[in-house]
Amino acid sequence: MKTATEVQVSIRSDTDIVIARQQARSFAAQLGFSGTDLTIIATAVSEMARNIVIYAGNGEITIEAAQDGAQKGICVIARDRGPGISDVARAMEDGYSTVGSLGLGLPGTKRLVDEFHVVSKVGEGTTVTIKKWRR
Amino acid sequence: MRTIQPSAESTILLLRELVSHLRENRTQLREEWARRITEAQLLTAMTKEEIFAEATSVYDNYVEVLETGSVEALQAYARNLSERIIPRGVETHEVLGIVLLLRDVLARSLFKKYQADFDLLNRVLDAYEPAANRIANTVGVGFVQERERIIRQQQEAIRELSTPVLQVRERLLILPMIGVIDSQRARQLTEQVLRGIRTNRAKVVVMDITGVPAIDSNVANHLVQTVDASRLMGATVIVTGLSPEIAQTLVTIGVDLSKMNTVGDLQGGIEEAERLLGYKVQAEQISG
Repeated sequence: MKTATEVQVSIRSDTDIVIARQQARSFAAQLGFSGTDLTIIATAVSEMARNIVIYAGNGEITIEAAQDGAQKGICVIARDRGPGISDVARAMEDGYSTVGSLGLGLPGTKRLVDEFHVVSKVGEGTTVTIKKWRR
Repeated sequence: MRTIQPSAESTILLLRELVSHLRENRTQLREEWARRITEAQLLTAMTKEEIFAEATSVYDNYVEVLETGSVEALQAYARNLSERIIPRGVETHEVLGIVLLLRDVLARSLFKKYQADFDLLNRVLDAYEPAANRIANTVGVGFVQERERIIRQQQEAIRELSTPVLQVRERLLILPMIGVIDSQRARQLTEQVLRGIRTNRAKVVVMDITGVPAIDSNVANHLVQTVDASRLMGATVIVTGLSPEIAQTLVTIGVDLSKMNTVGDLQGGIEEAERLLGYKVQAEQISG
């Protein structure tokens, strides 16, 4: 079977979170990830998708293969055109939440992965990019 | 307003003429339609006789809509038809396909009948097309709605089935959780546990999550809340079956599970619950 080079999931509801999570898990498995890493990737994608549903209402998740020199891995991009994050540093603090959740979505995701970037502009939306390398 | 009146009246007259044309040529047009359905390889899950029988009903309903202008009977028929053919694997494109074929077959017969008078043909088509489109719409929408209804029903059923609350002993409940937990299911689960505690006067609840493939911070939050709410109702929750992968992931994210009472597997969980409730399970001495 040929590995798809990219998977896109549009995120609008809880059901889409489950789909994104499953897609990420099977894509990661195709890239050679296994065991705990699969669960970690699936959970990170789940957190990213959940943030889209809660804060922006809708957006999309793109899953693709990543490569940096000899390192191979997975890259996941979560994009939305929601309200944006006014204070990214604050949003990265544990327990900070504007909706009464655990406040672990962004900082928790960051701890799960190897590379983590947030680009956000108030009124324009947020893009979160993560990378996880194969060990 | 006055200028529209005569045209509306002539539409009625034209439709009446159309209806009698379709009645007169019923046998031939119906056969033509059934033939084109088979040619287009639609409704392959049905036999030739079945296709012809359904084609007849749809045809008669079709003519009736043109005659009465009311789609109610057709709606009921479309629902009924969908109920019968969906379990047999008939797809949306097939249903739309056959209705559009009928529209084409009938339009062709009109071209043929009025080919000598282009002006009249135009007026006949003006009357026919909106009605025909409305019919195609009604049947298509009816089919899709029925499908959606079935999907909703199945979702409900899956939800109901997915988390049974079982009483193992006096005051001891077990919840074997299987499959994906989204926020809706997590919420429902909290409700079920709390209701179970109340109706069974439970003191200990063992929640087994061996069959849950992934837990994110949101679902973990729901679990923690369920444990807290259960405590308020006087029951202790023991969570069992946390996989090494999930345990590691939750700790990395930073979910605080210190308030959760966890035991490795279901058996250990039940033993712990029995201890809490003061039961002592002992193997009987079997002599001889």
